[in-house]
Amino acid sequence: MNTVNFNVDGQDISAKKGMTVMEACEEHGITIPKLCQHEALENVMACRLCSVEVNGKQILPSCGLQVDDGLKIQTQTDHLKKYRRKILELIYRSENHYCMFCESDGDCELQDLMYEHEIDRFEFPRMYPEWPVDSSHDYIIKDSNRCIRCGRCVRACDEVVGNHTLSLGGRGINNRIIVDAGVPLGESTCTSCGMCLQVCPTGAIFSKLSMFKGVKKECDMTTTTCLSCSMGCGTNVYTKTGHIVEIEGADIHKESGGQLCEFGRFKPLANKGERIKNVILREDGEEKELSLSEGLEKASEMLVKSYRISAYASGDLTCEDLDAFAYAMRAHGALFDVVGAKRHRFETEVKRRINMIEGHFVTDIREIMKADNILLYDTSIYHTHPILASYIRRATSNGTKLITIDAYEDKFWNHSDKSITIESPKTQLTRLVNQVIKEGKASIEDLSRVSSILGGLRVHPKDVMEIVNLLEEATYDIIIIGDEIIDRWSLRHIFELAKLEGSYVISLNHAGNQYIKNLETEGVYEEPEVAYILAGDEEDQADMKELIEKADFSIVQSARRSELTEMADLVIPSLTMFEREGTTIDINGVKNKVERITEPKGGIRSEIGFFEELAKMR
Amino acid sequence: MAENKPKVATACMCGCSGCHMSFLDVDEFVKDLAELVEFQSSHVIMDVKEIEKVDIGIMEGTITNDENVEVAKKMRENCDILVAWGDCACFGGIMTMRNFEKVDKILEECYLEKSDEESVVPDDELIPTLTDKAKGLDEIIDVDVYIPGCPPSADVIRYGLEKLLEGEIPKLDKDKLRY
Repeated sequence: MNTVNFNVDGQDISAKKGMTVMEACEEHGITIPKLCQHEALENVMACRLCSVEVNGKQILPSCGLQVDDGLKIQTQTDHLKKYRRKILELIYRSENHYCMFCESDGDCELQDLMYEHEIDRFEFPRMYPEWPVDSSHDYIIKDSNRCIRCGRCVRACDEVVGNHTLSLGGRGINNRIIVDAGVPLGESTCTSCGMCLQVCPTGAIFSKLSMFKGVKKECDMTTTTCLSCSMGCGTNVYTKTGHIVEIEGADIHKESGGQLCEFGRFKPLANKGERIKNVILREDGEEKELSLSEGLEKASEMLVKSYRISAYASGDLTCEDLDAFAYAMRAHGALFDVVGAKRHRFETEVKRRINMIEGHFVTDIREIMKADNILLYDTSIYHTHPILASYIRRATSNGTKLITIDAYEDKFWNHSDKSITIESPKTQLTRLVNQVIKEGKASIEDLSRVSSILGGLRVHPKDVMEIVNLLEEATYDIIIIGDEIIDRWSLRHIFELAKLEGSYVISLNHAGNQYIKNLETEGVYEEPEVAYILAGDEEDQADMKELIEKADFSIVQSARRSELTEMADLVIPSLTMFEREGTTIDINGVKNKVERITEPKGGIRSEIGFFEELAKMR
Repeated sequence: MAENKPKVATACMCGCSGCHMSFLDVDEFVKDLAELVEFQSSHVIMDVKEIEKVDIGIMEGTITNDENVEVAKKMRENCDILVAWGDCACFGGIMTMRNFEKVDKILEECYLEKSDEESVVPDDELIPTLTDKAKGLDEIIDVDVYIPGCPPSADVIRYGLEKLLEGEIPKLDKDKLRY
């Protein structure tokens, strides 16, 4: 039997075997106070606040107690309440809590519990220990004065982010949260994901970008999807009077543990670039401001009289925006491309050539955590796809072997079992690996001979053998290809290797919305008469700049002033990530909804309407 | 029947008088209260320094110097029910931030290090001496009623007073309790 029956506060309840008493109670609407327990994290029974009376004699923490037949649990006896009040007071007196000017006043779990237990006086004197405040990080403030040592941040950093930056240091009353080996947060291995502040129950870790902007309980909360990369993380966006207060991860119950990265949590709030309110036209060295309809006229005039038009869109837009833009550009006979689509076209071409089937591709990136070995080409995904990087780190913590191949410094240096640094083309290494696997038991001496024949190779035969051995002994290996690998030959050799070894592949590209895989794109004229760039929120894209430089006339549609808009002849306002509405497709092929969080504050209300008009004017 | 009215005294120790200000937010209840009780002394509405025998003594602020200690003890002696108003009186409040340092060090820093050259540490005998630690009221005297908050809202203050006038000892539940 998989269910057990037991009794809580006189109520008979049944629960699945293996559940904790706390989980079972919550399922039946019985709330037990808690501080260190968090649904995305392992239970450590640190705060003892969730203690319950078991069979009328023992007091045990319910987050660590498994349900069993015939248990008699009491959750709210006077004795327990007294016990909990004492714990709360002892927690409070051990640090320096000043609710009146604490950032988390009103959003604090400790404060809520103190109210709930009606603590209006103290029995014990307070300690006033001296604790430092660490504000060295760009986004995060760590105030040890408010820290109750529940260890949620430490567990989040270990279990969810896999980065192990935070840990508990010191003993007894000197016990505290330390960063790496005791360095300031700003100088540490922190990836700025902000998971620690999302799980912090008090005001011990909070965001500089959200502080004192509003109490979350009083905000409106909308769940939407982040457009920054192809992971498609769910986000809860808190707004007050039309302004964004804080962004949190929404997928707490999924494998991602509700984490977000710097791009999802902090960058949208940190972006203080000036919004573009009017159309800007630069003609004969003069800068003129136009209305939106005048801008539309000017854009269509340029598009109508030109033959060689390049249309290039950011990959961080919704499916609907991309469709509308593509339709308008096609109507004017433009060649159309999206960031990241080039890589996808190469991939399709190579796949067709070597006859590689879809079954070789991982359909759910969370599979990474089940792999025996991971072969990672291009470690820059550490910064471009941080959530995927966290899965790799978590896998290595659980014993998965990681080999990284990069032209530069291995960004997974403290997680990888083997780092191979080889400048482009990486294809040489993969080719040799393929050769060894194909030709059977080639010895290292043979390999040396092969490499000397091929001439001038920087590939070390030992590296090749190591990859071969690893791939051959493992049953489930995954090859991850970062978005910076865009040459056909590298892709081809990597795919061939996957085919040969039966490995699974995860292939990443720059686009946030994987709808680009369904769109027809063809690459653009390199030296067009008119370049039309729909940049959206994106800034400083090198290929966009290059296109503007080579075009006779350039149109940039952007939400904020940036280097791109300074270079363009015609600048048209655009929307930010939180002003868009529609759908987006993540790396697993799942369609997610994108909600409009704030009303458009730039000079345009709807881009889709604008493109519909533009399509008509030809 | 003025002689039957309960007598009330209020006093402010080291605090910002914010709790007294918040008390004035009870608006028209002040009028009702004036008919229900007689104020013996209260620094926000009358100029009486001495605390005489009263029924209800209300105190705001932290105990930080020997004058505060004296006033607090005098209030305790002279009242039947002692009420602590606000976080400072209940827990010590924001004034306890000086407890991280020794008193001499704080005086030195304030009057010498962070001041001009002519500044000296005041040592006139008329100036009360600072206690070694800033303390909540109940570390010096017994307190009967705790109304925390920074400041407690007018509604909570009114609730507390009404309960007292009904002859009960008020205790704030989780909806009224705010720090």
